[in-house]
Amino acid sequence: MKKETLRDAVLMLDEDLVAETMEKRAVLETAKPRKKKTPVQMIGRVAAIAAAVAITVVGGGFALRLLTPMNSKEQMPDYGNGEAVAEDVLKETLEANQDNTGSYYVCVRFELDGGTYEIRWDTELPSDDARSFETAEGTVQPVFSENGESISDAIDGVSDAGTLAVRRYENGEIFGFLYGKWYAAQAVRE
Amino acid sequence: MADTSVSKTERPENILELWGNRSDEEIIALYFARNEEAIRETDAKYGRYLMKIAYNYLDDYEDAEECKNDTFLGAWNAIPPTRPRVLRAFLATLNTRIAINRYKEKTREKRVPSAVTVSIDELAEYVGAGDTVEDRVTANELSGILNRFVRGLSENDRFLFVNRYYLGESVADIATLVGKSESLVKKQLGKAKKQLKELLEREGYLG
Repeated sequence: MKKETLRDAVLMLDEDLVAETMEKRAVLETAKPRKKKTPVQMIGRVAAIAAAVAITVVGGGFALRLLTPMNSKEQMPDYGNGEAVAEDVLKETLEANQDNTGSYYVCVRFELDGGTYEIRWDTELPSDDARSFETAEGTVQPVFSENGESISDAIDGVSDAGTLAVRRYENGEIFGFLYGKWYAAQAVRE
Repeated sequence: MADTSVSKTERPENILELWGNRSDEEIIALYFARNEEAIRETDAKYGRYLMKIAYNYLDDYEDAEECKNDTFLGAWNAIPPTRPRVLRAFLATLNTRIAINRYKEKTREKRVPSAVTVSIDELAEYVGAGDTVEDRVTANELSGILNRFVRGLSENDRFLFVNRYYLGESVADIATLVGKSESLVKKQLGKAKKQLKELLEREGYLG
């Protein structure tokens, strides 16, 4: 197939599909510009959905729970740089799954010391909304909060944060960088 | 004696500032009244927008300007009897059709390095279309497949696909439009491209 053939074919798109797109554009272009959510708003949003955020060791018998968010890296205890144990893994590992109760959750997955860790937030389904979103694992059905808002926005916010950094210090304490903020983390035996 | 002067801030410096403030319903009413002010109002409100759409195809301001003017003429001839439900979308659709016709004329003579050319080339390269391969499919036949493919996409993916590959919008502009990150829009477009490639392979048009 020649490029020109494909080009001509694309430009022969049916009128109703073009009109549909133009109408949707008109709605979006004349709407008030959406304010980009700040990391703090994202935290609030996710917290509202999940009530808690936890790093869970999959099948490992203990969990790391994210505790108080720090206002800045400077407010962290003076532990030095610590050992970076996970950096920039977020974009490649964002996934959505269904747990054994049928609830959907969104997670960030990374490996540490041979174990697989997840940062996970749960939410409620179902919704018959047909929208879906793409993850590293393929297309995933939509995830909705109780009030029906799509969690896709939350995922987008996470993508914007761009980095998940997990650092471990000599005394065993772990800090995670998520949604543009540092979080103290704690290993909890289950 | 009462001060009847109009302060500078209240009085527009340029008469054009008076235009572009009418609602779509008022503009459409001007068309129905066969009042030529309808064209000026349309230009003031949507002229730049239409220029941008046409420029994506033509990569030339004068050509885009001509498309815009042809769009106004088309609107003048169509309204009435047509009463556009969404004037902005009606004008944009009309303008796109005119711009595509002009684009096809231009590309018969030489390659037009416009945003639409670049975006469709990107799609063509991804699916494996080339410059020298023999054609076993006509544009008409392929357009049937493409239309079915686009209809089969989710509403969101369809919107992204048409904006990127039919209207030549940049990923950054689409991301701003839909309020998502560029990386997410790229991912979703990547998924659609992959699906299209798989479909063309299955149907035997590639390889």
